[in-house]
Amino acid sequence: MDFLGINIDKLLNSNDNSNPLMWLVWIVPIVLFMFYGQKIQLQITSSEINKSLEKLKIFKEDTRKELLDYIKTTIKPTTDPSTKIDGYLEYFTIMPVDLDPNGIVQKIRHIMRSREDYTRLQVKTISSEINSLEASKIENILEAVTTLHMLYKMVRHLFLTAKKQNNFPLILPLQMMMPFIMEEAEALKDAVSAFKQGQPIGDGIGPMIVGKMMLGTEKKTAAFETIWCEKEFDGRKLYLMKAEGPSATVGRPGDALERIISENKPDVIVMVDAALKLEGEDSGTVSQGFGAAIGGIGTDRYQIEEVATKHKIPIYAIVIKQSIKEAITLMKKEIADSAEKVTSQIHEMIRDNAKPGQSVIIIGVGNTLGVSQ
Amino acid sequence: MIFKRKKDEVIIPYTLEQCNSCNAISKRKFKEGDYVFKNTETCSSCKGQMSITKIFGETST
Repeated sequence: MDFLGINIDKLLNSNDNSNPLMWLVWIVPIVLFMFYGQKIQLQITSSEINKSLEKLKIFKEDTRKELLDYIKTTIKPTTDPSTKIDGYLEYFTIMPVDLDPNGIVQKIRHIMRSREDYTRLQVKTISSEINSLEASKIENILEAVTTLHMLYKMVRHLFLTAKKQNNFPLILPLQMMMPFIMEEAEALKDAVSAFKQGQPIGDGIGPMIVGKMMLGTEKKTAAFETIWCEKEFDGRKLYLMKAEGPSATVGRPGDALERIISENKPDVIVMVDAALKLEGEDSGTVSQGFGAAIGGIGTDRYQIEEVATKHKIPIYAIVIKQSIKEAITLMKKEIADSAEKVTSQIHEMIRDNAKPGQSVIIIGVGNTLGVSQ
Repeated sequence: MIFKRKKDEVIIPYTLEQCNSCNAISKRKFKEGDYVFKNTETCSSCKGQMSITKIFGETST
C-alpha cells in the first residue's frame, strides 16, 4: 500500500528498531503514567469505593425502613415514629477526656449507661403498651441501624475528602478498610431480621449453655436484666448467671458478679462466651483459656477483673469461635451443636479446679435474644 | 476461574424440640414466638412435655 507517498507497512514495521512511530507507542504511555498514573489509579479506586458506598446507602435505608415498618406493625404507635427515629440516628456519644486516664472506666460506664437508659426511655415513649421483649428488640435494631448510618457517613466523609483534595494517598487506607467495613455492614443488615423475629444469634451461645443448666431452679435478680440461681454439682455449689431471656439483652454481668461475690464468696469463676474466630478456623470450635471472656466497650470486663483480683478468685474462660457475621445473625447449626461439648468442658473444669464443698460461679456472657432459662 | 463469585446463601431457621420424658426429637421450621427452652406441645408418642432445645439456621442446598 502506498497512500500519499507514505508506506504504511514500512511505518508500522515492528522489526525495525529505528521506527519513530513504534518509539512513540512505547514512550507515550510511559510519560502518561509518569504524570497521570496516580490520577488514573484514583479514578479506578474511587469507582470501586463509590460502588461500596452506594451499597452502604442501600443497607442504611433498607434497615431504617425495616425498623419503621416493624414498629408500625407490632406496637402500632398513635403518632408517626419516623421523626423520632431519624432524630435518634444522629445522636452521638462524647467519650471522656483521657489526658488523665485515672478513673476513666467509671466515666465511660456512666456515659454508656446514660445513653442506654435514654434509648430505653425513647423506645418506651413510642407506645405506652410496648412490652419489655418488644422494647429490647427495637433497641437492638435501632443500634444496628445507627451503626450503619454512622458507617455510611464516615466512609462518605473520607471518600469525598480524598476526591475534593484529589489526594490519592488519602484514599488508600479507605480502600484497604472497605472489605472489613462491608463485612460488618452486611452482618448488621442481616442481624435486623434475626432481631425482628426474636431468633437466637451466635453471640447467644453462652447464655444458651448456662440457661440449660439453670432449668428447674429458682431464679433471682442479680442486677438489671441479669438473673442468677444456685445449684449443686458433684458436691460443689454452683452459682449460675446470665442475662434475662428471651429478651434481646446482655444484662449487666459486672454489677451482678460484684453483688454475688459480696454475698457468697465463690472459689472459681468460669465465663462462657462467643469469640471471634481467626480466618481458617472452623465455626463452633471450642477453646479454653484464662481471663475474663467478655466483649463490649470494656467496662464490664474491667469490673469483673477488679472484683476477681480483689478477692483473689481465678477466672477461667471457655469460648465458642465464630465470625463477626455469625455472632450477630441467626445462630448457625455448628455453633448450636457445640453446646453439649461446652457443657461437658464446664463440668470437667469444675471438677479440676474446685474441690467438693467449694463453690463456682458460671457466667453465660452474650445477648440472650430468643434464649430463656 | 480462580475467583468465582460467591452465590447468595439462603439460611432457613429451624426449631428443634425434645420430649422431656422419652427424649424424642423433632425438627420443624421456626415459627415466630419460638424461643429456646419454651415448653411447646405434648409428645405424640408418650404424651410427655416437649420443649425447644435449639433454634438454628441451616444453609439450603
